Amino acid sequence: MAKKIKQIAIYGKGGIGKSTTASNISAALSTLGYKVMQFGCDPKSDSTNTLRRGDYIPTVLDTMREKQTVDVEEVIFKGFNGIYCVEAGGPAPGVGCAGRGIISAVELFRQQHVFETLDLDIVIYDVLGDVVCGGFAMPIREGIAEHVFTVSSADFMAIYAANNLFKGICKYSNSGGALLGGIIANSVNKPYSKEIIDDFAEHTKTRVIDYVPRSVTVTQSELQGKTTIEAAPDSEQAKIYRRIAEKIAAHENSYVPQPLDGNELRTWASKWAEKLLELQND
Amino acid sequence: MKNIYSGIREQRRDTDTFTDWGGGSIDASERFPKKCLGRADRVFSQGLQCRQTNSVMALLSMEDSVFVLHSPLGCTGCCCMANDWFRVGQLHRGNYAMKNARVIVTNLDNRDIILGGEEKLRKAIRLAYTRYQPKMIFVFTSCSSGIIGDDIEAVVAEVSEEIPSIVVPVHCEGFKSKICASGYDSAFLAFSQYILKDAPKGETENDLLNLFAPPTVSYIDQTEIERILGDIGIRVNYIPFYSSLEKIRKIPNARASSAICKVFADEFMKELYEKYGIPYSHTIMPIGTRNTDKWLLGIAALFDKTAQAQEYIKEEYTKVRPLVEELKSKLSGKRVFICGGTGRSFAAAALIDDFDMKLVGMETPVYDNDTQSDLEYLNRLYGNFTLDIANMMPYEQVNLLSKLKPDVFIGVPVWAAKLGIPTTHILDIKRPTMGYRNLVYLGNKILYQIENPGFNKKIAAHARLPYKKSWYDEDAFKYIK
Repeated sequence: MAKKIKQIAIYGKGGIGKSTTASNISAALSTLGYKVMQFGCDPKSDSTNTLRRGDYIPTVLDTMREKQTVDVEEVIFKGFNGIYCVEAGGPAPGVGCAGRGIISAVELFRQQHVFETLDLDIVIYDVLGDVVCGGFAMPIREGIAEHVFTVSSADFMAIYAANNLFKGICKYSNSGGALLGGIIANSVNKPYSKEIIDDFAEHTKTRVIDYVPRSVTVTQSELQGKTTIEAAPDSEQAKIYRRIAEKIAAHENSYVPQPLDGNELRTWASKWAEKLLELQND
Repeated sequence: MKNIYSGIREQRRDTDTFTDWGGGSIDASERFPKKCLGRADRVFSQGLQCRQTNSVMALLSMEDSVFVLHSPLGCTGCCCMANDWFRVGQLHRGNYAMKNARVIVTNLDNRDIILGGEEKLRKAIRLAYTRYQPKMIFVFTSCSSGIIGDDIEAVVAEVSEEIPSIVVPVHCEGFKSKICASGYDSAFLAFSQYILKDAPKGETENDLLNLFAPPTVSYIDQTEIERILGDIGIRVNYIPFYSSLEKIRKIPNARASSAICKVFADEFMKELYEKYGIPYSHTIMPIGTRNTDKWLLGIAALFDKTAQAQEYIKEEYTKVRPLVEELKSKLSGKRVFICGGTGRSFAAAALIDDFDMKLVGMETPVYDNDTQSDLEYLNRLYGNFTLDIANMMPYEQVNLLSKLKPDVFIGVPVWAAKLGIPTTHILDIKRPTMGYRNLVYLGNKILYQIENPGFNKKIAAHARLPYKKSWYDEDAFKYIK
């Protein structure tokens, strides 16, 4: 029997550090000996940059623009430590339908049995986290990713995006879609940031799998076009990423989150706003 | 109040519009003024008509034009029927060098949906010009182009700079409305926004009437209507079937406007009134003597010809009445079920009064303020009857028919015929239906079907409808919640 390929989707609001986290996890997994593919599902198509020394790679949709049928070999590129890098890409800003683009790119890979052929252990989808339409929910539908991790800071908009993602997971959970693996808390430097995320997790019956502090090492590495794992493998930050990678590699049981509805979320947020004001005044 | 109308009937501000309802006609007319029809949401639908179909039908016979569908290939399916009507219409008008309508589809595929279809549209419009050099190029939008948000206006503006044809976008995305007549509105909005634009009123031609007619009006009906109006000295600018750029440009010069179908061009006529001060008559479809009188008098009043029209009606009656009376003696008391578009079915329901027939049921797609006034009128004529607000919904129709057992079914006959009920229809682009003379033809057609039901009986014996026996015992309106 063929081995089971672990497919993981990492969602997060744009700019929250989701691609940084995904790339570092991919890099860490590869150093742990896994065969990994990172599949960027964001029209910005810069998910895999730091795995390829800052290089942009031709996207699936760029290739589709040029010709009717795409051979997947043309859009798979090797990056750091043999990681396979793919970018779904998207239309030019303001035209067409990016969601449909993600659907088509993911379908293309399924049709051509790419993951099996490459004998992968782990596929990581790095997806824009607002789940604005059906297309961006594609990776969490039946038969694609099995576990979803969301990267979130304590920023309210990031939490809002995470909550939306939970709604998406709930919707597809009845039809065999992906379940939640947990929250990866990012840019957690202040004590209250941790509290906010923990409180959100508690309210949504979810778990935070780890906390990543904001670190200048990450910025330094990225300026060299590298992941922290590659550029500063012995740093504290790299250790954290490796720890998360190990947890993800070992992760088995995901669950259905309980998202807050609009009102609950607003009430929850205003409660925190008051607390933060108090902190400021103290 | 300018620019508030989007061409979507559900969004009209001066009327309430319902598309799902079933029950007694008196109950309906009592509930509507209270703005609550009660159960008015159909949870199971068997089919609806696309708005694009009606936009295409309204315009496809336009002279010296090319039609670009900015859609996947399948959407062009709606051109088949419209093109057939166009061809038949040409023959009826004596044009034996019959041609097909010139249709180009951008054939939006998966790639275009992702990356945007604007480039293909640009190419298609340019191709339409280089291949045919038409006066007008109509661009029909579709669900796909609407969802991905292709900027049709920008493409049209850009290409219009390059070519002498007038490029006219018709915004007719199907998903935006459940009421197919919205497709007609899109066509008229296109006239007003892209062809007439800021055209001046010009000199009024005192005997000229803008007559807006849906493509479902047969040529023989058109000539009958033109004859009637011509006899009292009114000339007709007939739009948009077999119409042309010149005729559209003449619209502001008319003295008055009216429509053959009550749901057709109603908003457009209002706009012409607001913009050019052109008065309009909005009465009923001229089917049956009573309706034809009402329709003609409405128009005559706008030309100060009421007395002349009354005199004319009397003359027509002397010719037609004996024939109608003869039909009446044979049709009197027959029970009728009518199914058709909103304008037509209400008009036809009043027509059967000419023959002293009894209305037992009616199926029509929309209930709005106009429907209310027509319904009140019918309730006075016939008392209570079964009303089904539905666009076809064959499962409801066959259920109702099997219970009501009418002597004749007037409307789209596909399912009623399989129940062995004599059928005929009024939505007939090939045969006479309207005005005084054509009433006789229509009456004979109904009588013929009642006297010769053999064909439908044979069909019923051999064809089977797909429903379980138990469905016929259920409430026909079970799925309206």
